[in-house]
Amino acid sequence: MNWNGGLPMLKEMIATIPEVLNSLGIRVSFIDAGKSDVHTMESEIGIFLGMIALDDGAKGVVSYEFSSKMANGVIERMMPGFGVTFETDIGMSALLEMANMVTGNFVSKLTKPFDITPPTGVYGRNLKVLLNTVGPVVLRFIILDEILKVKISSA
Amino acid sequence: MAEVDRELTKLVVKELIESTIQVAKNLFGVEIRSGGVEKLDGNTVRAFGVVAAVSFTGMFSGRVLVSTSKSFASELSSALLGRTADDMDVLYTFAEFGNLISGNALTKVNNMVRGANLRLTPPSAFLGDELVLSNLKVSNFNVNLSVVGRETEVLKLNVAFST
Repeated sequence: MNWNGGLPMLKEMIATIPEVLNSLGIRVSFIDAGKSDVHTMESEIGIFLGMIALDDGAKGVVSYEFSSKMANGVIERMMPGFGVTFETDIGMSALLEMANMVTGNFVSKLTKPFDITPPTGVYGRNLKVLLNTVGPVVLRFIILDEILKVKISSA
Repeated sequence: MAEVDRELTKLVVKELIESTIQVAKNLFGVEIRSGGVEKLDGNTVRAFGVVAAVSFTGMFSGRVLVSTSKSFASELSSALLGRTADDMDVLYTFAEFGNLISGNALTKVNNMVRGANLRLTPPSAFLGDELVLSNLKVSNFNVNLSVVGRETEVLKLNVAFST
Protein backbone atom coordinates (compact mmCIF):
# COMPACT_ATOMS: atom_id res chain seq x y z
CA MET A 1 0.00 0.00 0.00
CA ASN A 2 1.37 3.38 -0.85
CA TRP A 3 1.14 5.49 2.25
CA ASN A 4 2.95 8.36 0.55
CA GLY A 5 0.31 10.84 -0.34
CA GLY A 6 -1.44 9.24 2.59
CA LEU A 7 -1.55 12.46 4.55
CA PRO A 8 -5.35 12.63 4.20
CA MET A 9 -5.40 9.10 5.65
CA LEU A 10 -3.42 10.18 8.70
CA LYS A 11 -5.55 13.27 9.11
CA GLU A 12 -8.62 11.03 9.13
CA MET A 13 -7.12 8.84 11.86
CA ILE A 14 -6.10 11.90 13.91
CA ALA A 15 -9.70 13.14 13.62
CA THR A 16 -11.37 9.77 14.18
CA ILE A 17 -9.73 8.87 17.51
CA PRO A 18 -11.19 11.87 19.39
CA GLU A 19 -14.54 11.49 17.63
CA VAL A 20 -14.98 7.89 18.78
CA LEU A 21 -13.40 8.21 22.22
CA ASN A 22 -15.28 11.44 23.01
CA SER A 23 -18.49 9.53 22.30
CA LEU A 24 -17.39 7.11 25.03
CA GLY A 25 -16.77 9.97 27.46
CA ILE A 26 -12.99 9.93 27.06
CA ARG A 27 -11.15 13.18 26.35
CA VAL A 28 -8.35 12.98 23.81
CA SER A 29 -5.49 15.30 22.87
CA PHE A 30 -3.30 14.68 19.84
CA ILE A 31 0.41 15.05 20.61
CA ASP A 32 2.38 14.31 17.45
CA ALA A 33 3.07 11.98 14.52
CA GLY A 34 6.36 10.25 13.77
CA LYS A 35 7.83 7.23 12.05
CA SER A 36 9.46 4.05 13.19
CA ASP A 37 11.64 1.49 11.34
CA VAL A 38 9.64 -1.65 12.15
CA HIS A 39 6.07 -2.06 13.38
CA THR A 40 6.62 -3.36 16.91
CA MET A 41 4.81 -2.78 20.18
CA GLU A 42 6.35 -1.35 23.32
CA SER A 43 3.36 -1.24 25.66
CA GLU A 44 1.89 -3.83 28.02
CA ILE A 45 -1.27 -4.38 25.99
CA GLY A 46 -1.83 -4.19 22.27
CA ILE A 47 -4.77 -4.48 19.92
CA PHE A 48 -4.16 -4.86 16.21
CA LEU A 49 -6.22 -5.21 13.05
CA GLY A 50 -5.44 -5.72 9.40
CA MET A 51 -6.68 -3.45 6.63
CA ILE A 52 -7.11 -4.89 3.14
CA ALA A 53 -8.07 -2.75 0.14
CA LEU A 54 -11.02 -4.19 -1.75
CA ASP A 55 -9.84 -2.91 -5.12
CA ASP A 56 -6.14 -3.79 -5.38
CA GLY A 57 -5.62 -5.98 -2.28
CA ALA A 58 -3.14 -3.54 -0.69
CA LYS A 59 -2.60 -4.37 2.98
CA GLY A 60 -1.85 -2.60 6.19
CA VAL A 61 -1.78 -3.08 9.96
CA VAL A 62 -3.25 -0.73 12.58
CA SER A 63 -2.30 -1.16 16.23
CA TYR A 64 -3.34 0.49 19.48
CA GLU A 65 -1.03 0.33 22.49
CA PHE A 66 -2.20 0.71 26.09
CA SER A 67 -0.71 0.66 29.55
CA SER A 68 -2.72 -1.46 31.99
CA LYS A 69 -3.88 1.70 33.80
CA MET A 70 -5.11 3.28 30.57
CA ALA A 71 -6.75 0.04 29.40
CA ASN A 72 -8.65 -0.33 32.66
CA GLY A 73 -9.64 3.35 32.54
CA VAL A 74 -11.07 2.93 29.03
CA ILE A 75 -12.97 -0.20 30.11
CA GLU A 76 -14.41 1.64 33.12
CA ARG A 77 -15.64 4.44 30.83
CA MET A 78 -17.17 1.95 28.40
CA MET A 79 -18.70 -0.25 31.10
CA PRO A 80 -19.18 1.92 34.16
CA GLY A 81 -19.82 0.04 37.37
CA PHE A 82 -18.89 -3.41 36.07
CA GLY A 83 -15.51 -3.35 37.83
CA VAL A 84 -13.80 -5.50 35.18
CA THR A 85 -10.21 -5.26 33.96
CA PHE A 86 -8.48 -6.04 30.67
CA GLU A 87 -7.57 -9.44 32.09
CA THR A 88 -11.19 -10.56 31.90
CA ASP A 89 -12.89 -11.70 28.68
CA ILE A 90 -15.52 -8.99 28.98
CA GLY A 91 -12.98 -6.25 29.75
CA MET A 92 -10.77 -7.20 26.80
CA SER A 93 -13.88 -7.35 24.59
CA ALA A 94 -14.53 -3.69 25.40
CA LEU A 95 -11.01 -2.73 24.24
CA LEU A 96 -11.37 -4.84 21.11
CA GLU A 97 -14.71 -3.20 20.38
CA MET A 98 -13.17 0.24 20.82
CA ALA A 99 -10.37 -0.60 18.35
CA ASN A 100 -12.95 -2.03 15.95
CA MET A 101 -15.07 1.12 16.19
CA VAL A 102 -12.15 3.48 15.65
CA THR A 103 -10.69 1.51 12.74
CA GLY A 104 -14.07 0.86 11.11
CA ASN A 105 -14.95 4.53 11.40
CA PHE A 106 -11.53 5.49 10.05
CA VAL A 107 -11.64 3.25 6.95
CA SER A 108 -15.21 4.32 6.17
CA LYS A 109 -13.91 7.85 5.60
CA LEU A 110 -11.19 6.83 3.15
CA THR A 111 -11.72 7.21 -0.58
CA LYS A 112 -10.20 3.76 -1.19
CA PRO A 113 -12.53 0.94 -0.06
CA PHE A 114 -11.04 -1.18 2.72
CA ASP A 115 -12.12 -4.26 4.62
CA ILE A 116 -10.79 -4.75 8.16
CA THR A 117 -10.00 -8.03 9.89
CA PRO A 118 -11.26 -8.96 13.35
CA PRO A 119 -9.26 -7.21 16.08
CA THR A 120 -6.81 -9.30 18.13
CA GLY A 121 -5.69 -8.29 21.62
CA VAL A 122 -2.43 -9.45 23.16
CA TYR A 123 -0.67 -9.13 26.49
CA GLY A 124 1.81 -11.17 28.49
CA ARG A 125 5.00 -11.05 30.50
CA ASN A 126 8.28 -10.12 28.77
CA LEU A 127 6.32 -9.43 25.61
CA LYS A 128 8.18 -8.76 22.35
CA VAL A 129 6.14 -8.10 19.25
CA LEU A 130 6.66 -7.86 15.50
CA LEU A 131 3.47 -6.63 13.84
CA ASN A 132 4.86 -5.80 10.41
CA THR A 133 8.33 -5.67 8.91
CA VAL A 134 7.43 -2.35 7.32
CA GLY A 135 7.83 0.71 9.53
CA PRO A 136 4.66 2.44 10.72
CA VAL A 137 3.54 5.99 11.13
CA VAL A 138 3.19 6.50 14.89
CA LEU A 139 0.45 8.78 16.19
CA ARG A 140 0.50 9.72 19.89
CA PHE A 141 -2.50 10.91 21.86
CA ILE A 142 -3.06 11.68 25.53
CA ILE A 143 -6.02 9.89 27.03
CA LEU A 144 -6.67 9.46 30.76
CA ASP A 145 -3.30 11.15 31.49
CA GLU A 146 -1.37 8.48 29.60
CA ILE A 147 0.00 8.16 26.06
CA LEU A 148 -2.00 6.08 23.59
CA LYS A 149 0.11 5.05 20.58
CA VAL A 150 -1.65 4.28 17.32
CA LYS A 151 0.55 2.84 14.59
CA ILE A 152 -0.32 2.33 10.93
CA SER A 153 1.91 0.43 8.53
CA SER A 154 1.60 -0.83 4.98
CA ALA A 155 2.67 -4.22 3.66
CA MET B 1 -19.94 -10.95 5.77
CA ALA B 2 -21.21 -14.51 6.14
CA GLU B 3 -20.65 -16.63 9.21
CA VAL B 4 -18.53 -19.64 8.37
CA ASP B 5 -20.47 -22.94 8.28
CA ARG B 6 -19.40 -26.31 9.66
CA GLU B 7 -18.14 -27.71 6.36
CA LEU B 8 -16.08 -24.64 5.56
CA THR B 9 -14.66 -24.67 9.10
CA LYS B 10 -13.57 -28.27 8.64
CA LEU B 11 -12.06 -27.51 5.24
CA VAL B 12 -10.07 -24.49 6.46
CA VAL B 13 -8.76 -26.33 9.55
CA LYS B 14 -7.83 -29.38 7.43
CA GLU B 15 -5.97 -27.26 4.88
CA LEU B 16 -4.14 -25.39 7.65
CA ILE B 17 -3.03 -28.65 9.27
CA GLU B 18 -1.77 -30.02 5.95
CA SER B 19 -0.05 -26.75 5.15
CA THR B 20 1.66 -26.66 8.58
CA ILE B 21 2.99 -30.17 8.05
CA GLN B 22 4.24 -29.31 4.56
CA VAL B 23 5.78 -25.94 5.44
CA ALA B 24 7.51 -27.32 8.57
CA LYS B 25 9.05 -30.02 6.42
CA ASN B 26 10.09 -27.71 3.57
CA LEU B 27 11.29 -24.79 5.68
CA PHE B 28 12.82 -26.50 8.70
CA GLY B 29 13.14 -30.16 7.67
CA VAL B 30 10.95 -31.09 10.63
CA GLU B 31 8.34 -33.84 10.48
CA ILE B 32 5.07 -32.99 12.17
CA ARG B 33 2.13 -35.20 13.09
CA SER B 34 -1.33 -33.88 13.71
CA GLY B 35 -3.32 -34.61 16.84
CA GLY B 36 -7.06 -34.13 17.02
CA VAL B 37 -8.99 -30.91 16.58
CA GLU B 38 -10.49 -29.48 19.76
CA LYS B 39 -13.12 -26.74 19.92
CA LEU B 40 -12.40 -24.19 22.64
CA ASP B 41 -14.89 -22.22 24.70
CA GLY B 42 -14.58 -18.45 24.79
CA ASN B 43 -12.65 -15.87 22.80
CA THR B 44 -9.28 -16.15 24.50
CA VAL B 45 -6.25 -18.32 23.75
CA ARG B 46 -3.37 -18.76 26.19
CA ALA B 47 -0.08 -19.45 24.48
CA PHE B 48 3.53 -19.96 25.42
CA GLY B 49 6.87 -19.06 23.88
CA VAL B 50 6.51 -17.79 20.33
CA VAL B 51 3.30 -17.16 18.40
CA ALA B 52 2.77 -16.27 14.74
CA ALA B 53 -0.52 -14.58 13.88
CA VAL B 54 -2.16 -13.99 10.51
CA SER B 55 -5.69 -12.62 10.12
CA PHE B 56 -7.89 -13.06 7.08
CA THR B 57 -11.05 -11.62 5.65
CA GLY B 58 -13.29 -12.35 2.67
CA MET B 59 -16.44 -14.49 2.52
CA PHE B 60 -15.79 -15.00 6.24
CA SER B 61 -13.09 -13.72 8.56
CA GLY B 62 -10.83 -14.93 11.32
CA ARG B 63 -7.25 -15.44 12.33
CA VAL B 64 -4.62 -18.18 12.51
CA LEU B 65 -2.10 -18.66 15.33
CA VAL B 66 0.89 -21.01 15.28
CA SER B 67 2.86 -21.36 18.50
CA THR B 68 5.69 -23.31 20.08
CA SER B 69 8.23 -22.99 22.88
CA LYS B 70 10.84 -20.27 22.66
CA SER B 71 13.68 -22.81 22.79
CA PHE B 72 12.30 -24.84 19.88
CA ALA B 73 11.53 -21.70 17.85
CA SER B 74 15.10 -20.46 18.48
CA GLU B 75 16.48 -23.81 17.40
CA LEU B 76 14.45 -23.75 14.16
CA SER B 77 15.33 -20.15 13.45
CA SER B 78 19.07 -20.72 14.12
CA ALA B 79 19.10 -23.76 11.83
CA LEU B 80 17.40 -21.78 9.07
CA LEU B 81 19.71 -18.77 9.40
CA GLY B 82 22.90 -20.76 9.97
CA ARG B 83 23.79 -18.75 13.09
CA THR B 84 22.48 -18.22 16.61
CA ALA B 85 19.14 -16.47 16.30
CA ASP B 86 18.31 -13.53 18.57
CA ASP B 87 14.76 -12.65 19.63
CA MET B 88 14.06 -10.50 16.57
CA ASP B 89 15.36 -13.26 14.27
CA VAL B 90 12.96 -15.67 15.95
CA LEU B 91 10.06 -13.23 15.49
CA TYR B 92 10.88 -12.69 11.80
CA THR B 93 11.27 -16.44 11.18
CA PHE B 94 8.05 -17.34 12.93
CA ALA B 95 6.09 -14.55 11.24
CA GLU B 96 7.21 -15.95 7.88
CA PHE B 97 6.37 -19.48 9.01
CA GLY B 98 2.83 -18.33 9.85
CA ASN B 99 2.59 -16.45 6.57
CA LEU B 100 3.58 -19.48 4.49
CA ILE B 101 1.21 -21.79 6.37
CA SER B 102 -1.76 -19.44 6.08
CA GLY B 103 -0.96 -18.35 2.52
CA ASN B 104 -0.73 -21.91 1.18
CA ALA B 105 -3.82 -23.12 3.01
CA LEU B 106 -6.10 -20.21 2.25
CA THR B 107 -5.03 -20.10 -1.42
CA LYS B 108 -6.21 -23.71 -1.65
CA VAL B 109 -9.49 -22.78 0.06
CA ASN B 110 -9.93 -19.90 -2.40
CA ASN B 111 -9.41 -22.32 -5.28
CA MET B 112 -11.88 -24.83 -3.87
CA VAL B 113 -14.65 -22.55 -2.61
CA ARG B 114 -16.28 -20.30 -5.14
CA GLY B 115 -16.41 -16.69 -3.96
CA ALA B 116 -14.33 -17.31 -0.81
CA ASN B 117 -11.94 -14.52 -1.80
CA LEU B 118 -9.98 -14.83 1.47
CA ARG B 119 -7.17 -12.31 1.82
CA LEU B 120 -4.45 -12.29 4.44
CA THR B 121 -2.98 -9.51 6.52
CA PRO B 122 0.79 -9.14 6.88
CA PRO B 123 2.04 -11.74 9.40
CA SER B 124 2.80 -10.81 13.01
CA ALA B 125 4.73 -12.64 15.73
CA PHE B 126 4.87 -12.48 19.53
CA LEU B 127 7.35 -13.76 22.05
CA GLY B 128 6.91 -13.89 25.80
CA ASP B 129 5.66 -15.71 28.86
CA GLU B 130 2.02 -16.42 29.61
CA LEU B 131 0.79 -14.80 26.40
CA VAL B 132 -2.92 -14.12 26.16
CA LEU B 133 -4.53 -13.48 22.77
CA SER B 134 -8.18 -12.43 22.53
CA ASN B 135 -10.71 -11.83 19.79
CA LEU B 136 -14.30 -10.63 19.61
CA LYS B 137 -17.01 -13.29 19.25
CA VAL B 138 -15.16 -16.16 17.63
CA SER B 139 -15.32 -19.95 17.29
CA ASN B 140 -11.89 -21.22 18.33
CA PHE B 141 -10.27 -24.48 17.25
CA ASN B 142 -7.02 -25.90 18.61
CA VAL B 143 -4.82 -28.53 17.00
CA ASN B 144 -1.81 -30.03 18.77
CA LEU B 145 0.95 -31.05 16.39
CA SER B 146 3.73 -33.29 17.65
CA VAL B 147 7.28 -33.19 16.32
CA VAL B 148 8.45 -36.62 15.22
CA GLY B 149 11.52 -37.74 17.17
CA ARG B 150 11.17 -34.82 19.63
CA GLU B 151 8.61 -35.99 22.15
CA THR B 152 8.90 -32.87 24.31
CA GLU B 153 8.27 -30.40 21.48
CA VAL B 154 4.80 -29.40 20.36
CA LEU B 155 3.50 -26.98 17.76
CA LYS B 156 0.02 -25.61 18.37
CA LEU B 157 -2.27 -24.40 15.63
CA ASN B 158 -5.26 -22.28 16.59
CA VAL B 159 -7.87 -21.06 14.12
CA ALA B 160 -10.57 -18.57 15.11
CA PHE B 161 -13.56 -17.73 12.93
CA SER B 162 -15.67 -14.62 13.54
CA THR B 163 -19.24 -15.52 14.45
